[in-house]
Amino acid sequence: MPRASTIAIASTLLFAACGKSSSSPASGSAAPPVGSAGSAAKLAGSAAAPFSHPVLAKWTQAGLTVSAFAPDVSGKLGKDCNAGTVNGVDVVLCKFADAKAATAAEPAALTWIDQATGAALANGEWQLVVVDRNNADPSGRTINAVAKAFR
Amino acid sequence: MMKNARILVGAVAGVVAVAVVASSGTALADKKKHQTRYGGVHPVSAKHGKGLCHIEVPHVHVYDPPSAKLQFREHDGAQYFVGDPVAYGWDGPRFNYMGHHPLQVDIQVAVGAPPPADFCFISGPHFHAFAPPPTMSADFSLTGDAYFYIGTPPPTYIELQPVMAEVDVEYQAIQYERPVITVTPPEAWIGVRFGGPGRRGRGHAYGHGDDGHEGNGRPLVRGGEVRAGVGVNVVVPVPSVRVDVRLPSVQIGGGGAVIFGGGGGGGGKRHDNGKHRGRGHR
Repeated sequence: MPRASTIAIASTLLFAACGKSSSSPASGSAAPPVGSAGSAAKLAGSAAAPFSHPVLAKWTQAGLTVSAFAPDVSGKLGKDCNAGTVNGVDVVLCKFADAKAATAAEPAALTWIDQATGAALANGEWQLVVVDRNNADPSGRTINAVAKAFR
Repeated sequence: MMKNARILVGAVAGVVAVAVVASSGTALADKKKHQTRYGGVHPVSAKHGKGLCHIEVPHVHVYDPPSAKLQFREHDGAQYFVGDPVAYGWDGPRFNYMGHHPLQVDIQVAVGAPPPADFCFISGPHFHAFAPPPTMSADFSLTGDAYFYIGTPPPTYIELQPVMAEVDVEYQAIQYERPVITVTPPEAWIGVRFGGPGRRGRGHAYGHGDDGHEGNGRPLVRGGEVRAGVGVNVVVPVPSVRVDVRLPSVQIGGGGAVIFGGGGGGGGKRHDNGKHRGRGHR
């Protein structure tokens, strides 16, 4: 008999697991934004050299508040990505093999943006993804400044 | 036997519970809003915060554009705002336009090949955040710091005009400062050749005469000048121009110079039909 109850519990857990896995990992609020505190566990250690990209200085010069950027290893947007925030808006910079690959990554980025305001732009081999999940930028001015400096 | 039954009930209950959770998850998924792609700055409906979204590059929101048919054009799955951004709070670069004209929405992001030209159907003086692109500049006359369209509109313009003229109603409800244009319209201006802006005479005037006269929608002639007390149905001798302006003070001077616009734009007063009393100042 104990074996039968074990089977019942196991089947229940199996169903539950299937139900969970059916939702897209990159969709909905269940997926913590890359670069946010929720995804901190997925960021690599600080042993690597600090991330550097010319646009970081442009944002600072434009008067934007730029956080530290750290590698994002979630793999949701690319294999070589760094995430941070600018004026409270989540920003991810990903490097791809070439410009074509960066442009081709846009649909995945829009999927990741999901139920929020955001933009995904390619410039050469780089892709910028910016998303406002917390309504920190209702007028869009921060996203605009971030994006225009990148282009 | 009893134990078996209990196990069975437990298993069924577990399955039912999982099904309920799964179905509620589906329901949540169904409630997800679809993304709408935008090509540049655009107004935001009151339901979603009102005002203007200042993002000039392609981006996404999870709401549809307000007044999509009249104020947006769709290209490659993205919505492009073709109206007057100043009416919604734009404080960036602005360029004066008079009446209907073609435009290239992509100029706002300046990426890729130019799309087919769209048309702006806003009557009278208004702003855009861009000047006519080089590919169109020959079809515009920059007169008195305002762009007048002097090209030949496509047949679709004639077809769409009766419907798209409704866009003026959208702007009647918005109080904002329109450009003041003091010029003689070029003879080739679309407003001359096609009856142009507001030719149906909706009487969108919130005007006031500069002479204390009650406006009647007809030009006032004084000392060789032609003046329109409340800014409707302005007639220039040759070529004939009939301009329906819903803003204070439209004047046509002796040389055919025209002052369009200015003032508080609309001010909530509309459909004046020339019956509005002049307020005695410019």
